[in-house]
Amino acid sequence: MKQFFLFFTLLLSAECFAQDIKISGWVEDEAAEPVPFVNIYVGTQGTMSSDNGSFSFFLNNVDANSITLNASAIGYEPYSREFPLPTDSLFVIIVLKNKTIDLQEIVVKGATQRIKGGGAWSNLSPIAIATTGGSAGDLYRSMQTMPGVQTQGESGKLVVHGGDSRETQTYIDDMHVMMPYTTTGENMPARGRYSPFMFEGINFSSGGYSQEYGDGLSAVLPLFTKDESKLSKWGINPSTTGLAGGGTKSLDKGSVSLNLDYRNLGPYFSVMSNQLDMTKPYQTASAATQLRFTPTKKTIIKSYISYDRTQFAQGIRDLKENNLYANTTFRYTSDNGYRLFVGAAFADMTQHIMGARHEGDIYKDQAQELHLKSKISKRLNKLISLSAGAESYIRHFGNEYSDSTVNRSLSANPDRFAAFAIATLYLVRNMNIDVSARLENDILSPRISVNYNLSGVNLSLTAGRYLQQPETNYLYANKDLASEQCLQYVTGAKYMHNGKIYRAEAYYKDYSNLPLQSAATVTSGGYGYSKGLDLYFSDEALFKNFEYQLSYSFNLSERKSGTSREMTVPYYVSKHNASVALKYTVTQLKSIVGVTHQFASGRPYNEGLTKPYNSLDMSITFLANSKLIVYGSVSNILGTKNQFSSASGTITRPAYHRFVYIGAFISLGGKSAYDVSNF
Amino acid sequence: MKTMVIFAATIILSLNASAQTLEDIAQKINRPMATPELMTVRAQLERLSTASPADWLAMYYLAYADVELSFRTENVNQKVQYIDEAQSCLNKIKDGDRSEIETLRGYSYFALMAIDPRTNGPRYAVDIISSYEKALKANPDNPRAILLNAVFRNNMSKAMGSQYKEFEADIIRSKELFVAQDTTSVKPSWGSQFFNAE
Repeated sequence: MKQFFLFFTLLLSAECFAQDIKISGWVEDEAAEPVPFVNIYVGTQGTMSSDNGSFSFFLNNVDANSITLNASAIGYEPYSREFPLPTDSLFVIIVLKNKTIDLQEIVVKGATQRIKGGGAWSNLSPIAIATTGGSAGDLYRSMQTMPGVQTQGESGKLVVHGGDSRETQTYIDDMHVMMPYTTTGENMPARGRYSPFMFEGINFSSGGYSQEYGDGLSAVLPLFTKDESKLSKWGINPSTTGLAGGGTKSLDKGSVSLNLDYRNLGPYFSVMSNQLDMTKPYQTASAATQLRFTPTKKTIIKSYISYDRTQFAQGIRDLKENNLYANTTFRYTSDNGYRLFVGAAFADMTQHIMGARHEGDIYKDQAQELHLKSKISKRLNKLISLSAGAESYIRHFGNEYSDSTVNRSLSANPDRFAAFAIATLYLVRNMNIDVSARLENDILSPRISVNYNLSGVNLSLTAGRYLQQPETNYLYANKDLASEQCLQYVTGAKYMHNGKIYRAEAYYKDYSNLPLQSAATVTSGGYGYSKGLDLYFSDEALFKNFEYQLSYSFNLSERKSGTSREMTVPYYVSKHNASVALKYTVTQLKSIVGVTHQFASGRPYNEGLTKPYNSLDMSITFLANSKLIVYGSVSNILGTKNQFSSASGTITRPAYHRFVYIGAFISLGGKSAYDVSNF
Repeated sequence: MKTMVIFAATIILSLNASAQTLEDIAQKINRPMATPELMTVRAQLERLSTASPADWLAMYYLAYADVELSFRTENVNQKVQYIDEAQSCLNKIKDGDRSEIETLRGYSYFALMAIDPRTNGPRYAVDIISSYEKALKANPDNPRAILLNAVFRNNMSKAMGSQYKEFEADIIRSKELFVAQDTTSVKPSWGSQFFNAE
């Protein structure tokens, strides 16, 4: 018994020699407001702050010389500080810092369209794009309802902020796409070569874009393919224009995808009225494959290859075209936060046309591009993140024409080399500043962009210089033409609240070094301007299952370029562009109905302005079951006889006023559901 | 003597009871609880996982608490932050019960989908199904994986006017497995509250 008491006393006193310390204080934020429910602890001992931010707890059995006090709460940066071991108590006022709203990186995952800082739209949903009324599943057609984009019913290409379609560049996984549009017949709008459904993220910057991207005076459209496909699947897509099919095999550390596509518009145009005068039907056959490999969680290697062949004969013109695009990228994130990117893309297009100008002539056009790019970036600390890279565009363009009297051959190799550096500064809460520069073909182009979140309103101000290689036809005449230049000034405001998005943007673009042609001489003496205002409103909360968007763009542009002797409004520009897009999900019918109306004021031609453009479009997506989706789209339901102006100053009319597309997405195997992509 | 030993043990144990053990927390976290209590338990789990980063269960239960709290907060930013933290915790676990980890991962994707079902449904449906598939492959008798997978597939089919044919069989089986599981151990045993979601 005595021994037991001795043992017990020794044990108890051993416990008592380890100190009990009272830790107390309060927690507040940077505005000196109390923060409740903060987890405050040392090791596994601690408590939570009360409603007024105060806390108190006893730390037992501390036998070290110091303690580390931690505090954490959702929405705040974690707090951790070491203190020398107190004698009996420690009183601390903990100030928690709000997690900085990083306007370039943090987005609300609940929003349909994620709005980034600057004049950019990020992560547009492919499904939302495809279900836009009248888009027929074409990415570029549906982008024409975005603010800043001009309606181009005859070409189908993106014309942004008064710049022609050449001035908007497309990228896949940050690698340049030389030929993003299909080749089509006369007065027949082009489509994008790539299905929107193969992309996980569709971004669009209508102006003032990052200096990481080059060779574009107006805008960029960065598209990102999926990093992984977790389920194996395969399916077919029959439609009124052809048949496609393919699938994906999911592997342990990656996947392999394949898609085959054949389109023949002959049967369609044999029943639908048109003025195409096709002597051989429009046909395309394409194959695309993508390999994705993730050897570690921090490494992604993707390789995409596509080939398509197009052929048709329109009048005496008989065209055949082969187009190849290959793109391989490597991304790696190190343990200490460095992100490395290396990519290579190769494009080759060869086009043969017989009867290009008259019977018996032969025209051949060839374009090749090798794009190499590397980039490294890191968030150094809370105040700054850096990104730097280099890229090269090795290009060859060739053009041959021969007939009974002429035999000419032209070529140009306008390579471009660039290095860029971007610093993003987070000096002040809710603000970031991008300071960047791009050195491209010995010309330094700076850019500065300030983004500030003021009580939920994102304000932005961007100024930068952008360069672009002149059009190839001008380079054939003068290989020493200077790079075209555009100084852009863009300011905007965006606000999202309760399912609504409000956006306004104003811009001014100052063009210089535009090619100017006089007889056979081409110089870089052209110039011009483009200025305007874009307004956008969308609402997903008015009624259940209903969303709508209103978009209006105002643009004033003039240029002295090409063969113009004075400042004139470019033929592709209309002063007013507006669109209304409605989308309603009819749950009982398992359908999504999209209706879009687009309006554009008249475009200039030799004798004034064309009639205003109007097009009422509609699409229906029917989710029959988890393995079958039926999609239908009609453009210009009312058959409005629209007209457009051409580069020659005359009026042109589309070869058909209405286009009907009906297709089905059928999943034949695998465990995916409601999946419209074989990739 | 015996009384003295018991008295001594009580004193010693009480002196060491200032910190909650994983065993204590597991008993609480695996049953439904009110939000204030859940936040307290979450705080305790955060301390445990910081002190013992190699203990997968502390990290796992912290992720579970985060997912549960994401459903209970109204603020969308907080929802996303809770789910991001949950997925970050799951990604840190190197060795653990893969079936439980993948089940919880699928549940976290479901929480993301629930923020905006119309937009996030197509975006996360594949991740949800894929995670539950992996969980069931690792352990076909995981009642949580069976139940959550069945409920999600059934709700998705209902929304499209069809039916998930194995729903009833899966529910019955998961109920049996829930009844049979040991709720006194530290292993995950949550989930029976979802029977109300059928």
